[in-house]
Amino acid sequence: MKITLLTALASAGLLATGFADPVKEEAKKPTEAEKAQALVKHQEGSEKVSIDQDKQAANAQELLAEQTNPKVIELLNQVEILMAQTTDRLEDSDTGGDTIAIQTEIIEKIYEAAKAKGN
Amino acid sequence: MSDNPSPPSPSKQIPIPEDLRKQLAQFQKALWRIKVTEAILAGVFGLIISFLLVFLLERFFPIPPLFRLAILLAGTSLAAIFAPYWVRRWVYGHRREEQLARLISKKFPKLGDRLLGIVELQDQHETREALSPELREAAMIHVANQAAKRDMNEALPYSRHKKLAIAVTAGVAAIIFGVALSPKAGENAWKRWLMPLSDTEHYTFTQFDVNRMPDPMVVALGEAFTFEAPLKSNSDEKPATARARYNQQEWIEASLGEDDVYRFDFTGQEVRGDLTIEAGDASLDIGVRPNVRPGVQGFEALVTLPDYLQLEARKVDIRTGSLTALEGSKVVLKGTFTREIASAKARLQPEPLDEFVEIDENAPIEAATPEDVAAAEAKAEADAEALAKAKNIPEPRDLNLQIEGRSVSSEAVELGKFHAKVPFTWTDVMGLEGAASFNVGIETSQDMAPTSFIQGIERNIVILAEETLEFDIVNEDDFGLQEIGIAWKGELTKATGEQPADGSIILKKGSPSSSRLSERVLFSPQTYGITPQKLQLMAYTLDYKPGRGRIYSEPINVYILTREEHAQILKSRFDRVISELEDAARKEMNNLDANDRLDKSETAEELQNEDNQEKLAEAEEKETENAEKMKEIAKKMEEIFKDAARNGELDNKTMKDMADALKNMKELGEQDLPEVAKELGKAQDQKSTPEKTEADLKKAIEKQKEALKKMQETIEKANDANQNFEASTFVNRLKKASTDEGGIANSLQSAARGETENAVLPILGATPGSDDIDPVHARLLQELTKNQRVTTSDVRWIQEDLERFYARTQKPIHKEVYKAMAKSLIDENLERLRRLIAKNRTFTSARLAGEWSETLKKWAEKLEGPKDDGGGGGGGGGGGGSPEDKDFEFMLKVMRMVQAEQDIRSRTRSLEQMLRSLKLANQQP
Repeated sequence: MKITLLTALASAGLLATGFADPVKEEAKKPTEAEKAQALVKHQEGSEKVSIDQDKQAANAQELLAEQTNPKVIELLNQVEILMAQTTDRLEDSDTGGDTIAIQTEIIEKIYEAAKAKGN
Repeated sequence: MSDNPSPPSPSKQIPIPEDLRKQLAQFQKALWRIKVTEAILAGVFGLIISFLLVFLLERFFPIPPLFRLAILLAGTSLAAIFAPYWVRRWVYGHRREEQLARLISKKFPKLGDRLLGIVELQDQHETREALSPELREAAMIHVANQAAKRDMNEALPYSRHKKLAIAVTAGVAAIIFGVALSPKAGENAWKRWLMPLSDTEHYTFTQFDVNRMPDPMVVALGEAFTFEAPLKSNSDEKPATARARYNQQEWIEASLGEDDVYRFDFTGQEVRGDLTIEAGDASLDIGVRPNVRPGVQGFEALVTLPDYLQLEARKVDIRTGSLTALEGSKVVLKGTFTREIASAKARLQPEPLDEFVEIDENAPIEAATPEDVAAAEAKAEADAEALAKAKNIPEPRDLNLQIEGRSVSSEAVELGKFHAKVPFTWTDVMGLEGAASFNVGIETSQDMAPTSFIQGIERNIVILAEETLEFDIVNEDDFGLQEIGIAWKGELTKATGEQPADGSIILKKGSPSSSRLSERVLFSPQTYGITPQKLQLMAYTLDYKPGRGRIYSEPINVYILTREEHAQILKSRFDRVISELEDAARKEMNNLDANDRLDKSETAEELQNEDNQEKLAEAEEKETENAEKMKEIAKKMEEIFKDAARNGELDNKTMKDMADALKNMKELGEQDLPEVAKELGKAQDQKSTPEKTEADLKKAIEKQKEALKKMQETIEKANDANQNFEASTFVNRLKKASTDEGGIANSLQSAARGETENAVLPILGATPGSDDIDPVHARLLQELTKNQRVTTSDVRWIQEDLERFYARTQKPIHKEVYKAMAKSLIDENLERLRRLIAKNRTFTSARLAGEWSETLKKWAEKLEGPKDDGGGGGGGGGGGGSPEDKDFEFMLKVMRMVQAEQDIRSRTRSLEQMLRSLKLANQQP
């Protein structure tokens, strides 16, 4: 069962080709207003993601509370800390490579926790 | 007589008598005249002879300069050496009387002696007493008298002056005759004799025009050639025929052509040699050098592309003779040859593009009568000219060429709307032409529009707003791409107050040389604030051609769903998987029956018959097929499970049933069914005994029964999960219907408040179809009516499905809701609401829609029950608190957490991509 769930987690996304015929249209250059609007959109988007990341941290906390395995607890603790860091970064609209790297680390640690629980 | 000696008297000189003196002087004069004449004549004769020698010999062959010099020197030596010698001998050597006396003594010895004697006496100085002067005088007189009697001319030496005079006269006559006969030959001989080392050309009566003949002549190696020997226009003789030969080969004759040229055709030669041509008295040797023809060593084109492409000029190897270049380019053709080139020619021959209809020049001319042919021809010609003008093809012309050693470059040719052919011909410095012309075919191409593709994603895709799509965009152009990006255009499926999404981002900047740009795209609708709607997502690219604009790929349709819509989609996918699973189970049962029948009807020995073995092989094959099918089903199930976890609307029990079913499906596909096939395979082993075969078959049947049982269990589990799924989708469906009604209500309320964008007239009191309704409101009402129709239909289906679901599951809560729906006559009421909307009963419609929205929401909540209530749905069996369930719950939570974190990471990436796009946009000029 655990294996099924983990493999389901690991399965890749949709992969299908979609070659297309071109459609012509006049070029559109973004105006200054549009650029400013996009910047605001980025900030808002980052804020939304930070809220979701914070919710994730709450979920991790909840999961942590149910655990008795010290290894799992340690890993989930680390996950929680990393999630908090990511939330801070996202609040500051930092969507760069470092933030993404921490998110990847979070995913890896959750996997590790799942494995530790299984053993 | 006196005896006294007298003093000696002084000496007395007695001169030669006057007559004798005169006679001797005459003799001397005659002698001198004759000998000087002889000397002069001999000198002249020598010159005449040497001239005549040159004149005559040169009529047969040209005398080499040194030989002519020798002749001239020999001729002049008579005058220059012999004459002075002769004068010295005869004039200087006979200037005194005793010299003359000695000469005379050679003819008249006695007289000569006497004359010599008196000449000596004349100079004697003696006294009177010693010698008698009278006696001397008497002796002189005596000798003078004797000499007087003689003709002194007879004593002159042998004279040749007359013969020489005759010879000179004859020579002069011969010269005069020869010169008179051929003044040009005389003049030429005179020049060549007088100036032997000058380059005066040898005169012949027949004269070749050597200026028009190559020397040496280079001919193509091994190829037949023609040698042309032209005569000078002023040639005195023009023989009808001439002959020529190559080295020592046979003589070839040729007649004089009308253009005064002899043409000799020679076979191919491979060794160097001389060509000897003879015509009349003219003979000529021409060196012949057989050599290979100059060939093409390389051909290239320097293509300067139009300015807007901002690309460097390109060198293109066109040894194949074909060049494709962009319209508006400037092309310089450059050929390199195997030998230095003396002259070359290239002609630009424009040709129409394929798009123009070709005119058949040989097409028959249509004319009603023969008299009309001329007019028809003229018309056809005019038409052709008009078409040519329409094609705007330039006239063919010769290109200016620049020759540098072995290379030839053309002027720059600007390519317009035409193709072209450029035949090149060339001649090397030896005068050899190329074996064949080199034809360059220029095909003018257009700057093609770039292409843009989306790869790695299906054309129609369903996602939740927070999901992230990952795909690649690939853009290509024949020259360079300025930028690439993605663009989207939304279409709201329900009337809401929101505007459909519309936007684009730049993903990468290109350069004039970026002919291919690709990028991995992370597109999360939520990042761009895109709410659930149908979205057309396209890749775009922009090349450098002015005025072309963006080129878009074919769009992919992204259906961004609400969780409720997403759950419904999952439900239908789940239905299909269960159906496939049932189908696989039926097949497995049929396979089992066939194997069972085989086992029971045949003995152990009979099982090894050929027919039965074939049946076993067939059964094994079917088993393998079913195993593959099962793997496929498991894969689909896994996807559904993953999406269901992401959706988050399903309870843990449903998820567990789904997971159990998935586990079984995987085991069946990967272990159970392949094992049955393996046992069936063993039953076909030729080495097995009949008993072993029977035992293997029985074992296979046992395993098959177990597998079938597992399949049926899996179907049951899947059906349980599906029922739960369906139950939870009733909640979602009711919620969705509630939201839809709420949306209709909100839209109507906004319109009533005059908040509809772009509407000028109020909606209240406006009659649809009349002039008093604002077009924006008319459109809104149409959309809302359509939405209401869809929602009514959805609710009707929910009611029907609930009834059926209750019939199957007998769950009281579903009965309760179904009864409530039936009692409320919701389907009739919603239809009535639709009509009210269509009639623009704004307030009433808004109120009713709001009320129905609330009712639907309540029913959904009733079905949903209280949340997080400890797995009450699980019933007996004590499953909810078992360690296995706890483990599953943990894993499910982990799975959801990982999925959520992956989504968050993808959205972060998408945001980063958006930020980078902004930076790129800021770089734009």
